[in-house]
Amino acid sequence: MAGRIFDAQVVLSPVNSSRGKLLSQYVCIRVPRMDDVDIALFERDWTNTLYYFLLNADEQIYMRYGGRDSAAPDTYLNLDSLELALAKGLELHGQYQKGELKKTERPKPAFPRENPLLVERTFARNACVECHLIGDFQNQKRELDGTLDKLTHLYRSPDVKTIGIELDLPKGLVVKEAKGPVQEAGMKAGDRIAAVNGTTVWTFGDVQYRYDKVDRHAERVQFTVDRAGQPVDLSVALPPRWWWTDIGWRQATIDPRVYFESRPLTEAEKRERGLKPNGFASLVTYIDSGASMLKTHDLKIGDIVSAVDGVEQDEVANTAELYIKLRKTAGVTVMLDVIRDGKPTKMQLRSYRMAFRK
Amino acid sequence: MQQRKLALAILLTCVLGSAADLLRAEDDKVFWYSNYKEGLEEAQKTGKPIFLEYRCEA
Repeated sequence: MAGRIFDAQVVLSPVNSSRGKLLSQYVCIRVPRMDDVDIALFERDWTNTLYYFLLNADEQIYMRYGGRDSAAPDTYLNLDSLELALAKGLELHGQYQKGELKKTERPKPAFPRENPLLVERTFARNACVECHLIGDFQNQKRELDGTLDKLTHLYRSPDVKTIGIELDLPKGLVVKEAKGPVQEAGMKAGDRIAAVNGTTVWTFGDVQYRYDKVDRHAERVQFTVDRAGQPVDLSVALPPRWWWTDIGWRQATIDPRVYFESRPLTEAEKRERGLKPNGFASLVTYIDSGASMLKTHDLKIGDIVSAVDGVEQDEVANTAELYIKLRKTAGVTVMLDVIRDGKPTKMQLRSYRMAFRK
Repeated sequence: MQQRKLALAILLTCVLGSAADLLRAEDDKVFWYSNYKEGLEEAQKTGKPIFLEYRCEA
């Protein structure tokens, strides 16, 4: 609903409003079906159901507008920041027409019809090619091809709040508050984010898209900020699992649904129970009702899961829950080592694979 | 009055789910193409930049 209201506010902009006057200087196109979208040129996180591109007739993209977080689809949608983007787009277009902007190479076109799995699920059944299906079927194909990298392909759009960036939304990329890693790197309130790893950004959509391109094993990311008209380069140390977000809202068949949540045990808690200090032993904190409905497992709140299929530690996962999600295929059964009421036991967990059967 | 009209239009849009159909009935609203190729041709003809919205309505 939230995206729908923003959509309507934009589409129904009166021509004599400030937004309408800006939009009137563009050719406005609204595409509600994804059947023929060039998924290479307009590549994005496909779970965004509302997304904008500012480009020209040569299909050179000036910027993106949109993006979301796990809290809501409209966290970063703001009519004031949209006007800033529209005004900047006109400025860039003027520069382009004067030959002042460097052209980027157009990616080789690619279309949803080229993915047989997606065709079987949509075109062959006269069903709509929904945005999220494009992303999910790309991942299904990667899973079959053996090219799936869950950290990159499943955990898309890492949240910049994880590294401490809080934006002043109506002002576009002006930082409202800098905390944690970005503060340690020198970012300050009032800075305007100007580039991510050397690529110029104009909107949150640009930032999220560029930040998503950062290697998940990278230890640092470079931000350039505009501070009182001067560029300042900042090297930000990325914390462990900086890419992690709650992807429970995403519709992804390749994501094993485990129907429980857990937190890592502290070092002291592990020591007390004789568990590996670097292990992912974790305390079950929440059981989703799906667990009993789908008969996926019999875990209870307070259980400690110390191993999965005999494995106790992982270079990335810090909980058993994350280990299953990263290292196992959706729909498989695993054996858990569980400590319940102080006694070790074993139990099966069958992860659930979502399906889209309309 | 203008705000009330906009609020009503937004409400109708939420109910009906298609902003594009509604806007075409309003002369004082920005015009939107619903076909990418047609819009691209218009941009090539006029030299205007393009504002492109992808809205997955499912």
